[in-house]
Amino acid sequence: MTFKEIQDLIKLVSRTGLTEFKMKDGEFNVHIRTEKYTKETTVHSTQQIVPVQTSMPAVPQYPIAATPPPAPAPEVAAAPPAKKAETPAEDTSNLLEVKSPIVGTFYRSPSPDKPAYVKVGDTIEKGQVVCIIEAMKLFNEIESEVSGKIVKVLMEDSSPVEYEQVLFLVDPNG
Amino acid sequence: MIKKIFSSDYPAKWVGKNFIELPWVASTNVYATSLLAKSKPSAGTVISTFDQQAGLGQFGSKWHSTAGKNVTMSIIFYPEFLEVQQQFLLSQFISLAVLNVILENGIKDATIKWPNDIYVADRKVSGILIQNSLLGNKFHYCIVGIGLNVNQEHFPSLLPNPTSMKLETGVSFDLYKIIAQLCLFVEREFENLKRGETEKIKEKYSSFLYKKDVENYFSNSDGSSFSGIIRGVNIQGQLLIEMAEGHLRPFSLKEISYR
Repeated sequence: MTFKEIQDLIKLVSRTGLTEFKMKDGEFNVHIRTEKYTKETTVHSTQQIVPVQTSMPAVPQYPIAATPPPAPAPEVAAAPPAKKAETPAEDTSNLLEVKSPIVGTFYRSPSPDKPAYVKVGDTIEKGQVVCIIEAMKLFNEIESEVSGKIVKVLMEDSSPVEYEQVLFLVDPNG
Repeated sequence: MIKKIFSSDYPAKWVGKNFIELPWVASTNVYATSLLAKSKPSAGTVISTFDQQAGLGQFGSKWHSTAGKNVTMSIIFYPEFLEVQQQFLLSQFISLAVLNVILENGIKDATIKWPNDIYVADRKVSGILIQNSLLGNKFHYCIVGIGLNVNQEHFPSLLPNPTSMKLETGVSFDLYKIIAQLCLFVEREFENLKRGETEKIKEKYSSFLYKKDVENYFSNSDGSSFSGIIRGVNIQGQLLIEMAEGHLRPFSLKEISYR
């Protein structure tokens, strides 16, 4: 299947209003979930991971409060248990999410020799830069849309992120 | 000086209208960032210096430029009409504008080395550094840094393959005139982008790609090599390579390098 065909397929699926679509052809398989399904749509194939460009940006107003992170990133395990102490009750229902608006690489600091923009426990203001997402050599400072206290950093420095991937959890009352 | 050139030969209307010229500065991009932190400079504001002392390259690397020889400038945009997922178009329109300046000055063998370096034959004449600020799904601002080697003839030996417009032509150029050309061509391409001519921009960009349409060897991220033919880019900016088997395959930056 060509890249173009995959794009066309995604368009078709999103237009029909389906929530999920699976297809298998030999070694090749495609799995599409639309926003209605998880508010996060990705295509997995044996060759590539294609971020979905919905033709109409029906992007939910982010941050979306009260949704637990969909598929926890494998990097989460790297968070030292000490951090648990900072969030005694793992009740994430009142937490806000800071998500990545683009596909790219997540960087916590402006350059390798500089400290991270934010860390767990920091209080951030709306509009404050929380990280950089690099995409094809374009460097994007991500400004937070929420204020509060950072309770969790979900991605490791220099790791790839998908569209709408949750990067930080923020406690608005923190 | 700059005003005169703008009004006559290269009449840009809004790019460079607010023209901030600094005798020297660490980095024009950093200067633009600090300006944006405390004010809202008009769209098309240019910060220019002929003595950039600590220019930024890609993520921590440096852009070297000898004082008085080259154009180093940053331009501020607010591309609110563009979806943030389509931001590779920013790379494309700037690359085309810089390329047009090179061509305008009689240098024929200029190409765009994916994603955003400008080459003359096999040597780099210009680098571009784009720094955006995103608030949710919208651009807050976009700073485009352009380093263009104009009259420099000697480069530090640590640079792999630099060249300049003078080295290519044997003549010196008026730096203000080059700036005025850049402002005009950047403005034109930006307006094409604003009018929604994204397919045209993508096609033009693709048509000027370095080593396009010829068989080439590439290295994979795992170190293995393969041959293929560069055919263009897709909307995300991935390089489309025609593989030996005949199909087009998109590659991201970290998946591939030229050999």
